Amino acid sequence: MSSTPVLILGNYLHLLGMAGYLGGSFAMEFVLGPAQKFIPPAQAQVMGEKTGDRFLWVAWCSLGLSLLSGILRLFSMGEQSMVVDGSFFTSSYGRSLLGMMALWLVLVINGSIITFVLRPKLKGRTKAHGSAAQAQAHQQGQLTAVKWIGWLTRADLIIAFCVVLFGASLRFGGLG
Amino acid sequence: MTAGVLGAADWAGSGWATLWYWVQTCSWGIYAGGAFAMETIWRGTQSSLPQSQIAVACNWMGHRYRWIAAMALAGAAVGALGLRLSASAGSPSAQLALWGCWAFLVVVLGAVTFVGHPALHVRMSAEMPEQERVAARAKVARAIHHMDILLRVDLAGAALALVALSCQAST
Repeated sequence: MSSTPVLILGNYLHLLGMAGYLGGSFAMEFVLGPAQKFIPPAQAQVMGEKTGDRFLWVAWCSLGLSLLSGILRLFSMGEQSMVVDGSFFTSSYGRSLLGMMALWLVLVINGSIITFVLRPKLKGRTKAHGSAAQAQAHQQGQLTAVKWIGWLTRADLIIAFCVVLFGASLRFGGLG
Repeated sequence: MTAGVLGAADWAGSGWATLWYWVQTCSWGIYAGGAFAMETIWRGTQSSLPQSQIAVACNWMGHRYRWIAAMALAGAAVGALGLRLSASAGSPSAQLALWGCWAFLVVVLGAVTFVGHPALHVRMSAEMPEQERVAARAKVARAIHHMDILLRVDLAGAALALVALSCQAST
């Protein structure tokens, strides 16, 4: 399936996935996140929740698009056999591709932790008939979740830059 | 035997080319992805916030975002020039298309910075007669509409730049 139009399409979708994730993370970290300090806390919380929810959709769609377009690229360049014949580990190109895939998997794992473990804690409400200790524990849990989300999203941004580095190296034979 | 990551011999050739291509790709990714994120994430969030707070947030974000966009375009240019010097720039037509998109986006960013954004800053004082207040609000509404058009043109330009980048990557 070695065809230039298919390869160009694969490249475009791959770049779209990369841009959605990298650019979106960058905008969240340096534009949308800091802007919340300039509006009242109640609206800042709404803004944080809504932008976070929307960004999760963008991030997951970008990761999915990167996977599908990556597979399309592999097939369009005729390199699908690399996955089974062991050249993943013996060639510089293969090792760089494997490194890129491994980091992609880290992004998926971190994204899963944020989506299914940490963010649900932020949405949980304090029970009206609960004790003061329960309310405090719930609030503490939410603060911890916010802190962990901040660390993970920053780590993901750095990992995304590394993924792009591995990807860029493939054009020139891999990193090493 | 592995040469290690960007070993001594690589720096003269593929190492530098990788670095320039990484700079170019990250820059375009931040530009296009940032534009997409602002369009899909921020625009969609605005319906949940009061108009006055949207204006405050948009004002601050506009100032911050145009610096990021300018640095991303600068990075894209530096990456492209670096690739050219490394003789790894790809096909001439893809390069030309990419530079064309880059020039177009510089013009659009300039329009946003020097025309679109300043037009949104219309001051209304309490002493203003009602007629002037209505005219000022209409002026702001027109400026918002023009800004919307500019930002969507910017997003379309960024999407085209990714097409050119994908053609370059295929050569």
